[in-house]
Amino acid sequence: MNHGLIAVVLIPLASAVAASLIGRRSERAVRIVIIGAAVFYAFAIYRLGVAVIAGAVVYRVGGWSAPLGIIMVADSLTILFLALLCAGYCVFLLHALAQERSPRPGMWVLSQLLITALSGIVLAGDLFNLFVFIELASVSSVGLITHKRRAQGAGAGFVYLLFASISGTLFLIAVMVIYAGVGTLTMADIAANVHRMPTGGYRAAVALIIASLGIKFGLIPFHFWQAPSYDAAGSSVAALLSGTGMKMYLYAFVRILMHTLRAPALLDAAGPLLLVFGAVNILVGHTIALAERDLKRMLAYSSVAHVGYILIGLAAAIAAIEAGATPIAVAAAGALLLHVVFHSLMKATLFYAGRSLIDRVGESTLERLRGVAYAERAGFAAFVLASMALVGIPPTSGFFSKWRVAGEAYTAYGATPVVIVAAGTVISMLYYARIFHLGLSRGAATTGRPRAVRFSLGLVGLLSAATLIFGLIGPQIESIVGQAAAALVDIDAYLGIVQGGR
Amino acid sequence: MVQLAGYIAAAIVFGIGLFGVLTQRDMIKICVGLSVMDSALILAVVSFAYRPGGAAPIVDGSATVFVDPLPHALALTAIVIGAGVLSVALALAVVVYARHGTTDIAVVFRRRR
Repeated sequence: MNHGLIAVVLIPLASAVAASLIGRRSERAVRIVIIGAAVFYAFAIYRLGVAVIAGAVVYRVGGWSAPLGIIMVADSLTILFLALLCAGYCVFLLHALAQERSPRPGMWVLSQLLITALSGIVLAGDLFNLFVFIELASVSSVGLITHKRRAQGAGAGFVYLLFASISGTLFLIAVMVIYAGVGTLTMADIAANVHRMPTGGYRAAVALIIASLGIKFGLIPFHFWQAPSYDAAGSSVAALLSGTGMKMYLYAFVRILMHTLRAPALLDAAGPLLLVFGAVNILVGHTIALAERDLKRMLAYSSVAHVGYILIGLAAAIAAIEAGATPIAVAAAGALLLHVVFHSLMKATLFYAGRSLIDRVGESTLERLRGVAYAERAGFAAFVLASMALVGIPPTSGFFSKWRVAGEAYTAYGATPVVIVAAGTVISMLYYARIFHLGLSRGAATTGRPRAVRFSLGLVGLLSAATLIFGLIGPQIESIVGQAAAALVDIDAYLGIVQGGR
Repeated sequence: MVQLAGYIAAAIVFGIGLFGVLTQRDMIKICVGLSVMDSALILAVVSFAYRPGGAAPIVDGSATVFVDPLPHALALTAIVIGAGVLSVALALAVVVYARHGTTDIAVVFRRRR
C-alpha cells in the first residue's frame, strides 16, 4: 500500500500541531516548521502524482478495506486539484513570510489546518469523511477570517459559520438520504448502486448536495456570506479562500455529482440545470460587483460570477457525456478545468495586488483609490494586468479559458450561453475600468503607510506576468490538464477504482 | 410507527430551529436555533437507525435483528462537530459583544469600521 497518500493530509496536520506547540516561544522555529512542512507537502503531492500516472491510488486507512473501512482515493483529477491547492498555499506562505510585521502564530496554525482539511476534502473516498473535512475547513476558515481582529471580523466570521453550519446540516441530510437508498457511504460503492435509488430520494439527494456545496462555493442565492467574509479577512487570506479554497468545494461538488451520484447517466435535467445556475451566477454576480463600492467586496462578487463560467463548462461536459460524445466531453471538461486553474491564479493575483494598493491608501473603499496609480506604480500595474486577464482581454489567460468555455457551451447549447458569457465580460469590463479610471485620476492625496515590501511586490509582479504568459501557452496548459479532464468525464472509471486500485 | 413519529418530530423541531436561524438577529438566539437544528438532525438519524425489536449491534448469537450501527456513529460525530461549531459561534458572539456592546448581528454590519 502506498502510504504517500495519507502523508498529504498528515504533513500539514502535524505541522499545525507543532506550530501551535512552539508558537509563542520561538517565531523562528515556527517559520522553519512551516516552510519545511510546505516543502514536504509539495513533495508528497509530487510523489502521489507520479504514482497516479500508473493508475488511480486507493489508500485503506488502517488496512481495512472498503465497505467496513475508510478509503481515500487519488486519481488524476485529484492530483490537479492538490497541485492547485499546493501552489495557492505556497504563494500565500511566501506572501505572508515577506510581510514586515509577521502574522500571529495562530495564523500559521489555522492556515495549516485549512490545508489539512482541504486536502482531506480532495482525497476523501467516502461521504462521511468528506463531511468531517468540510466542517474542519469551515472552522479553520472562520479562524482565518476573524484573525485580523477588525471591527466587523467577528460578525463576518459568525455569518460565515452560520452559513457553513446550514451547509453542513444539509450535507448530512443528503448523506442520510443516500445511505437510506443505497446502504453504504463509500463513494465508489454508492456509484455502483445509485441507480437502485428511488427517483424521489435521488432527486432530493441531488438538490441537497447542490444547496449544501453551493453555499460553500458561492452559488447564487447562497452567496451572502462571501462579501463580508473577504472584506473582514486580510487580502492574503481572501486570496487563499477565494482563489484556492473555493475550488476544492467545487471539486467535491463535481466528484459527488458526476462520479458518485452519476448525474449525467441518471438525471436528464443535470446539464440544463447547471447551465441555468451558471448563467444566473454570471449575470447577478457581475451586476452586484458593478454596484459595489469596496474593492474586496467587488472581487468577492466577481468570484461568485466566475463560478458561473465553471458551471457552464460542467453543463457542456454533461451534455456531451449524455450524447455519448467522449472527445467533446473531454474538451469541455478541459475548458472548465482550465478556467478553474486560471481563475485561481488571476483572483489570487488581484487580491495580492489589491493588498498593495489598500496598504498604500489605508482603506479598501473604491473612492479612496483615487490617484493610487501614482503612489503605487508596480502594484497598480500588476492589478491592471490581472484584471484585464479576468475580464478576458486577448491574449491573457482569462481570455483563453473563457473562449474555450464559451466555445464548448456553444457546441452543447447553442448561442444563449455565449451571449451570457459575453454580457458578463462587458459588465466586468465596466467595473474594472472604473478602478483604472479612479486610480489614474489625479486627486485625493494618499495617506496610508507605504508598507508594501519589495519581495511581495516582486511576487505580485511574477503572478501577474503568469496571468499573461499562461494565456499565450494556453493550449500547452490544456494538454497538461487533459488527463484530469479525461478522469472527470469518465464516470464509469470511478466504479472500478476501489476494486482495481492499488 | 415509532420511526415515522421520530421523523415527524425531527421535521417539526428542524423547522423551528431553521425559523429561529433565519428570522432572529440576536447572535445568541441564532446559536440556539443552530443547536435546535442539530438536535433535530440527530433525532432523524437515530430514528432512521431504529429497527422494530432490534437489539444493540453486539454480535453474540442471542439476537437476529440489529439496530443499524452506522447512523449511530454518524450521530456521535455530528454531535461532537455540532458542539465544536456552537462553541466557536458563541465565542464570536462574546467578541462581538465586547467590541460593540450588543449581540445584534445587524448592528455590527451597519457600523462600517
